[in-house]
Amino acid sequence: MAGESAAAHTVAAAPAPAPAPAPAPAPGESRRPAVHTERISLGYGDRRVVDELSLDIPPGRITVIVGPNACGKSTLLRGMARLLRPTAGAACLDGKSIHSLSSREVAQQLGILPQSPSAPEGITVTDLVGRGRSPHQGWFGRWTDADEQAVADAMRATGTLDLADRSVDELSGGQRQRVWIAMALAQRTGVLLLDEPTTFLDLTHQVEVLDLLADLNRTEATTIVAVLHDLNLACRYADHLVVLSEGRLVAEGAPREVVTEELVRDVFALPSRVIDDPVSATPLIVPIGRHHGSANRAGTAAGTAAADSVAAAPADTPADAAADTPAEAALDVAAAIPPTGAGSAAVSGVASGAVVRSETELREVVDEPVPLIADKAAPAIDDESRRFLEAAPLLMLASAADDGSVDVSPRGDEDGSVIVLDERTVAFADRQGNRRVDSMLNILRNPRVAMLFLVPGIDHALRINGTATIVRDGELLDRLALKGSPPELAVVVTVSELFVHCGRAFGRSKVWDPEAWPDQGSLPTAGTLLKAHTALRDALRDAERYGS
Amino acid sequence: MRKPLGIGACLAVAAVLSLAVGTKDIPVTTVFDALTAFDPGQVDHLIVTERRVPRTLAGLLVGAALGLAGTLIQGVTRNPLADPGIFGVNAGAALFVVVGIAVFGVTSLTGYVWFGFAGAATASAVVYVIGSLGRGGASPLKLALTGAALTAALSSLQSAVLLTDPATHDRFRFWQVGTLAGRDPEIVEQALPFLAAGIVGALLLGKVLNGLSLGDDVARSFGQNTTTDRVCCGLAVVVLAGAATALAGPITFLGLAVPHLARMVAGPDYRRILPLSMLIGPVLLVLADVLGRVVARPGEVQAGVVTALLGAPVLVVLVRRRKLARL
Amino acid sequence: MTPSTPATAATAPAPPANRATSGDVARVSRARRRERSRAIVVTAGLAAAVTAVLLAALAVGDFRIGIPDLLARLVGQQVGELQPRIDYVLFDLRLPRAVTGLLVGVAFGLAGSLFQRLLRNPLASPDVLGISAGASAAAVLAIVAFGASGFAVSAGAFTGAVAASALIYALAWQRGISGYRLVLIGIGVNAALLSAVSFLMTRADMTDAQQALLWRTGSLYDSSWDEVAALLGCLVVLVPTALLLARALPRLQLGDDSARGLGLPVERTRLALLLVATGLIGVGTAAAGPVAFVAFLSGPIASRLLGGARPGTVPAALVGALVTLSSDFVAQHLFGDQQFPVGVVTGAVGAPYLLWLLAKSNRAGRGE
Repeated sequence: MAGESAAAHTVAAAPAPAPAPAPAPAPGESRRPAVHTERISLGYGDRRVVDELSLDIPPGRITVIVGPNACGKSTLLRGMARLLRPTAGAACLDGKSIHSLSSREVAQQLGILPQSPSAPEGITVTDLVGRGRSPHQGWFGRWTDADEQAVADAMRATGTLDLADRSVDELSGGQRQRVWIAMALAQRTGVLLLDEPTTFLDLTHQVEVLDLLADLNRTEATTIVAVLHDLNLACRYADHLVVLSEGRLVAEGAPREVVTEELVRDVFALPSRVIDDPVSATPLIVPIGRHHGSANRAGTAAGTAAADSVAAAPADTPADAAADTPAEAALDVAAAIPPTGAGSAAVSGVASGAVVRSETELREVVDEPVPLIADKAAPAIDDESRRFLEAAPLLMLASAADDGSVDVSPRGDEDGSVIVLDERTVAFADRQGNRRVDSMLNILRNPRVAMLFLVPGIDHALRINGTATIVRDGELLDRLALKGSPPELAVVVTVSELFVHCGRAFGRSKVWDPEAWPDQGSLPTAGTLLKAHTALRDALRDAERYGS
Repeated sequence: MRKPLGIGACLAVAAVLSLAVGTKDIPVTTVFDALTAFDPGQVDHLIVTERRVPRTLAGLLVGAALGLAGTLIQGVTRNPLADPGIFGVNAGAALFVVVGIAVFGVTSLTGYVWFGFAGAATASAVVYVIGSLGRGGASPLKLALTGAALTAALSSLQSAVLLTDPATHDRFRFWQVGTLAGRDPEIVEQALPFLAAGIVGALLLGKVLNGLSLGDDVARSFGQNTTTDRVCCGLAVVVLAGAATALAGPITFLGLAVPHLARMVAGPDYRRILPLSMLIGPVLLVLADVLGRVVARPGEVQAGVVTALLGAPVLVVLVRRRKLARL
Repeated sequence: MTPSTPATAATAPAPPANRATSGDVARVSRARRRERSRAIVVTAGLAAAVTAVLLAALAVGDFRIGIPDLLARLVGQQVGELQPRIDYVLFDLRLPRAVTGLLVGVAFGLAGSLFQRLLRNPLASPDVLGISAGASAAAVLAIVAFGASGFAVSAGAFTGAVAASALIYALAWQRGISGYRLVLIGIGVNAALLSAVSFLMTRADMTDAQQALLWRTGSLYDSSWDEVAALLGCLVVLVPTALLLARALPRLQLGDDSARGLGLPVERTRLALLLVATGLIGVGTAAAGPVAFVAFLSGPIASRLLGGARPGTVPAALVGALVTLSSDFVAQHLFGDQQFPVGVVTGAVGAPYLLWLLAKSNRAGRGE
């Protein structure tokens, strides 16, 4: 299903813009080999992370790969650098599969700076940068003047000459990253791959590192491929932007052609405005937070903070971002749906006078609860509740995104739906399902969740309200292992309130009474339902497209 | 609650086996008679009461102590591969026992106990102090390195003594291997107060470990004093592991494997893991002891050897499983 | 949000001139030379120290040989009427022992530092990983169960070391080798093997047990020229191979990904290095027993002397020789009539030194 949504918005592989006339390479410079992948599939063990991806890296340009966490961007880079053997397809260097070349041949043409590389304790800057020369030396090679020149060039280009004698341990994060880039430069390759070179750097140092890469690209015409997590910086520095989602290519091309509000919403699950960067005229993504976007727009039709800043932008920046793009129209529709709790527009089939619009109106119908019930929330899990929770094999997890959309989904395990870690904390596994991960996406955007715990045959239920965190590492996953295999993810919920739901709804619905259960055959199967939904979706889309 | 009962049943079976099986197998009915209607005239009754009851008791106590000590040390260091051995407990106890034999002429197991205990306590205190200097406190790698280095120093001294004094070596090599054989009631009585205190103390530390298992910052935000907590746990480990090593000699791997088994049964709550460790430890040790009596008849393979040879594969499996490194 | 003026946006900082001047190159060369000259000084100093201790080991004893006589006989000059006695003591007794000590020290020092650098973990020495324990178990088995001595014990030890190493490597292999996994599995194998040794010791009669303990401690007592020749034959192959392969260490130190990116076939190189290091340990152990902690200590001591992060395999080999020779000297001469095997001293002296280093680096906040 996720695949479908990705496919729907695939920008047909935009032809790479004709490379700008690159400056003639300095004499003695290494050539720029062509890099591309052919239906490359990459993964770890049985888990496939990148799926039949074909990509041409424009030579002499800066290509930036972006995508949400765990979309396979680093994996793709590792595949292109020969660090990871593909399960199918190939990464190619000058048309030859990179795995048919020796590692030394590759290292002479293509450099890789892995994500957070580790320097041995006590190493000096000169020593570390010098190690970049090793692909050119071989087992018996000696240190030559050319090596020394390459090291000095690399250190000059990165501004690390002043650090020559220093120990890498004592450098700042930005300095250290420059030293690592210097090491990669000393390798003198025509292609340089960098995996999140700006991680853990403050904004100043991020810009500093990226400027350095841009310099290098301009002066040496080095082909640069970088994985970045900051979309705005990616847009600013990339000649060619590659957007990945769930191991597939969603879009590629110049940032201006690729980055739209729909793309950001579909790929990053982030409602946003895309405006022109007032400095570089590249796309600038302004996220709409939970507290800003829809609330503001509900008040004023036009003005958002983002739009204001566009208006304040210099006149020479193109103003078309302020115009109503289809994306913006879609956002308006979304914004028209009120956030929870606010009043409601017309509801089909209900006269407007019959609608309850405020708490006062509500209380006219429903009396205040007695104090015992009003205060029935408990702040933590007592021993009795714990017994109930541990007996509940099924829970309903409710989550809400920052844009007000909500989700409720069932979770269950044979040994109980949750484990109680302590009085304030429960945890449950996120077993592999259909990969839509709606609840998980909601939690990322808004950690508040509610969980309703059900025990078969028992009419009352417990509810926990709390704050969820998604965990992907550690012993907790082993504790949640099912038949020896730990889940990929777990959700830890810090309890803020605990309620008892009385059993009347269960009693009335006779849900636990086998006598009242319907005949299995009389109801649609999950497959039938899915089919029906698809048909409905298609009909609606056709209606929109052809104005039925 | 079925699982603890099942383990309790295993414990009972292990204990009965330990009373019945040996160089001379004794029918269970006779074992029962010896316990309920003792007849000093019957050799079998004497074997049961004089030999096997103390030996089984020792196995139960040592197993419980090592199981708890292992759980505590893994919880405190948040390192799933921690074992009382990394605190230098075995090396310290060994050196002190050697000195006891060579210098003070101690010849009986009852005498070894005190030396072993003092050695274990001294060594683990030194390792903990050096290992927790500096930033980050007692991290697993620092502790492991310090423990290995101290073990090196102590075992050198130990072999210096042993090489010059073959008579001491002759006695010591039988202590070194780790066994429950020949433990008479008197030694068990000597170690009992320490073991009892350690066991009770350890069982009270479940809540503390739950806090620590979420990380120091979270534990502190729950109002725990993490330094005090660690010192308490460390003390309990020293008392338990020291007394156990004094009683049975160095027994490896029990403290490593038991916490993992207990966690598999009990889940993540240390208030359940700890009592279960106390039950699982004795089951394993007593069964290892029984196995050792059976495999090499008429001789015996010492329980310490059996646990090591069975425990190493357990360790390998644990290490090969994903993401074990953090707790 | 105030947009920066278009002027600043247009005039991006000019790209730095990417060609380094000769001054820049000289600056880099100076920094490199500074480290290299320290390495040269340290290596030369260690070599001098090894020579001095070697000469002392040859000269000092119940029968003292003067340095002039000693040097003269070593280069084959006649020294007068004491010559037969000197020749017996020097060539039949002391020289084989000293040369064995030197070679064994080199083998252990080199192998230990290779293991530690390769697995990027100071704990990962052969005595902690169970390779020495494999040698011990096999040798003790040979002594206790088959009454073996001499060459049979040595062969057993070599086989045991190689088998233990292969076992650990196979168990740690999971689509590649992670240093952490290998260390932990090694610790487990080590414990199991040591417990097997303890068991064998209880099955031995008193004399065998004492002999086995002596062997396990590591000693140079019964060194002979035959042994020296065999040892030398092996090391002539192993040491140059090790030094050549050690050229991969600067890259391996940067982590697997960086090393691959710098053109190193990582798994193949690592396997070759492990093979050579295991060979060195096996040969050294066969000659002198698992001399306690020489392999463990040499690497850390050498790297502290060198500073920086150079792999320092040659200095580590020299530290190994120095520690072994000087410990043997101490063990022979400093306890009066009582002579100890060399392993007692290496452990007793080396381990406190390591503890001190640990305490120091922990206090300085570097210990993690």
